[in-house]
Amino acid sequence: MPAAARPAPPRFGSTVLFVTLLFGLGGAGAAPGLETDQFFAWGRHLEDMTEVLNARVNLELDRLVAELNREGRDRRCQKVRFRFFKRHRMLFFDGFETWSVNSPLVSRSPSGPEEMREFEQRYIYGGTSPLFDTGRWMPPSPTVEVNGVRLGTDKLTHFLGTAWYYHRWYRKARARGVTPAEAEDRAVHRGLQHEITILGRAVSGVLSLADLEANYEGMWFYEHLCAGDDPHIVYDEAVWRLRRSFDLRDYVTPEWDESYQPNIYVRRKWRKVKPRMLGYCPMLEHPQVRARRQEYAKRDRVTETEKLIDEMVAAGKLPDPSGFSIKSVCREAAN
Amino acid sequence: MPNTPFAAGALVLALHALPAGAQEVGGAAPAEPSSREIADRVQADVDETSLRWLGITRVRYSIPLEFSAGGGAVLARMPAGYDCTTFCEYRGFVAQIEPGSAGGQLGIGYARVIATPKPRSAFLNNVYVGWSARAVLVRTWGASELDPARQTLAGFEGQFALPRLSFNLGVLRRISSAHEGADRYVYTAGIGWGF
Repeated sequence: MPAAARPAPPRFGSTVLFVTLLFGLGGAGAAPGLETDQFFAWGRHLEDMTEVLNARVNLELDRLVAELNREGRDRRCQKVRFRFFKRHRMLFFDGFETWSVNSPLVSRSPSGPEEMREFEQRYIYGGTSPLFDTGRWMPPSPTVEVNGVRLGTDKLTHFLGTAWYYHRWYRKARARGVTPAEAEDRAVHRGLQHEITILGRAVSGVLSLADLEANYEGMWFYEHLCAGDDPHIVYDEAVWRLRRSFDLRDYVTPEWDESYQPNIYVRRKWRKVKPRMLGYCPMLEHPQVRARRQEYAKRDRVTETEKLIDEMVAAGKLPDPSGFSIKSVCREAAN
Repeated sequence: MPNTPFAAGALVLALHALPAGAQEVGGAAPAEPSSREIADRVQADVDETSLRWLGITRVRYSIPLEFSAGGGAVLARMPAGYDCTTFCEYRGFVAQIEPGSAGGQLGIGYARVIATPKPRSAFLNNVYVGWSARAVLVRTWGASELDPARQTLAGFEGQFALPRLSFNLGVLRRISSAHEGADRYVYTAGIGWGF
């Protein structure tokens, strides 16, 4: 018969000592952070990784097709989507992100132990306490460049991982007979609620609009993976084949760059982030930064996520993100 | 990284030349690799794997070991080129020995853990998130609250680790002889730091 061990006698002093030691050690071993910081990459050279990252995703699509052909039968598109998602799903992080932060083929910043040490000192969330800032309990996401846009590798997890859930909400709504536009709206609203609560603002104090952009684009990647007018994968004459290669250029926009698309911060976090952001004001005149921001401005458009955020701001449910932009911070400091 | 085969190391060096070449300032620009070449390099990078072992440590308070400190290793296969500066997922065999104030434990099993070793360290210093399932052999002694105080138990333990804390639950069955009426099963639980 199962039975628990007899209760231990009270050992208050030693337990307090142990708990203190526990948290002390925890602090010493603190993770640099969960967030990404594109400001740190300002002025640093990065190779464009579009082809490399495309090749990595296409390799996985090729392998999915080979796997489907080994089974040799037709499958529902939703099953195919899930099979792809499962191929790169890992513990907490996405397999593509894990690869991109480790592969010697990927040009990224920070990269290597020395630059990582510099990053830990300088990065925009470095002013917060590693003990109490939950956003810093996870590793940081280095910056990579895709089609001229600087983005955190966490966007790969958002685009190919979190977006799977967006797409599932979208499909569920569609299965209930909701129109595509309404289904999209429901998925995006639900995604925003997740980012406000469990995935973002409530946990780390940061609501990343760039994350939402990647989630949204990823939803359409999954939708068009094996359905619609121009799918990537088709089942044709009893054979699965990759009909159209994946290309990140179809999805990445300047809004994925968190130094361009500002996050929304809770007050306690903003107090720590703002002084660090101020330190980057002189860099706005750096030729590389200026050229990139001008290029971004040319490519900028009003996205579905931005429309939703504007609605929330108008309803007083969210603060205006423009107040957290580098331009706003530097203008305020100059006056 | 320990146990990284020489051949894998050579591949890493070859792969390192790719972005490094692209970052050179001045001089003749290297020819842009074709899409096919890039795809081949990516495939080689993903498929060339090596076995790595890294040390793990933990301190915890648990039933029935009470205060204990454990040391062991995780053995995991991953792409040979991974530098693990930011984080890596270690997925594979885990073994740990853990002496405590009221007993000692030997555990072997399977682990999945997202973690980073510090530079030039053979230990997983920063554990972000992970879990393990282990078969364990426990011998209690001295100050054990079990009845009888000295007994040998075997069972299973599940562990879940977060950045600061690690939790474990399990069940043990007594395999040594004891007086009649002694409990045969013990549920285990613990909280600590490390993996």
